[in-house]
Amino acid sequence: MKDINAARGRIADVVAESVVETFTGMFGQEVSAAARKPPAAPDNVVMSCVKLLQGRSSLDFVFRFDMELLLMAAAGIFTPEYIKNNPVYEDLACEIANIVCAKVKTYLNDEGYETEMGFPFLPRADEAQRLLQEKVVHMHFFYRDRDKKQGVGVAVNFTVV
Amino acid sequence: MADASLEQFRVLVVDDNVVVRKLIEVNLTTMGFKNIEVASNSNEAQEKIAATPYDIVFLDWNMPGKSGYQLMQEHREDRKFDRIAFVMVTAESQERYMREAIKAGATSYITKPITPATFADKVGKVVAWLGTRPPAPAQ
Repeated sequence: MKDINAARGRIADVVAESVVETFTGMFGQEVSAAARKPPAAPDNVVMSCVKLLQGRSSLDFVFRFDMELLLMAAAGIFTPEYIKNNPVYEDLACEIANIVCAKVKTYLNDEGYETEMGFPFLPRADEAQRLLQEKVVHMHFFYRDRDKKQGVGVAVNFTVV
Repeated sequence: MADASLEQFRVLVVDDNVVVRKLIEVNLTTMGFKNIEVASNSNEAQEKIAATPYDIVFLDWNMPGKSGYQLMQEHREDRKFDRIAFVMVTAESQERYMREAIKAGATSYITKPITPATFADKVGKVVAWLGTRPPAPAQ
């Protein structure tokens, strides 16, 4: 069975492409991949996780979204009243993680891996930490908020266990 | 621009994620569809399909419990649902999934992320398929 570790670099490329494609194409929000790790991660975050499994290996993804970015994306779909009364940001966080990780799964399986993907879930903070214990790949994506200031809209970390 | 001829069609959108349900609904409304209902799981969808003669059913492939794929297979085994166009919506974009879905009776297959242009193009082809159906049996 092929070792997923060998594909880490290309997995990062697939994640970068699909985060940008999903925000731009599906939710009308421009995000761009940061060339290097920015000084600050998002403050008010919503997290979601997905696990890809291949045999005894797992590829664990943790997504941290700036709440502001998710609310901007939600505003294109839901009424302000609905957003106020429902945690749509949680569904958004899970759906984006689901789409991005399905792209990774497709890439890996097209390359001859045999990965299966679990449903996305909202982790507790300690659970997210546990999923990211070693050899973590960090990725960050910028966006512009309502005041047109650039910030980190999405941070994606993944590791192979 | 919205197409008034689409108002006649009854549509069901089945997805466990409210964002996807609403996004599909928004895209359908923009195209001109008016009769749109939603279901958040396969059991609810099954009851609705049994009670209403939908023209198009959008199904999330992967849902907790019974998957959209299983739901479509079950309905394709019953000839009384032959007039329904089943559209699988999924983030899975491997060719083999698409082939499998079409072989099992899906009328179309939409991969996420859903963009308005691709969505309108795919649904336009589904509407063309609806026009090829034999007339509905008299009640």
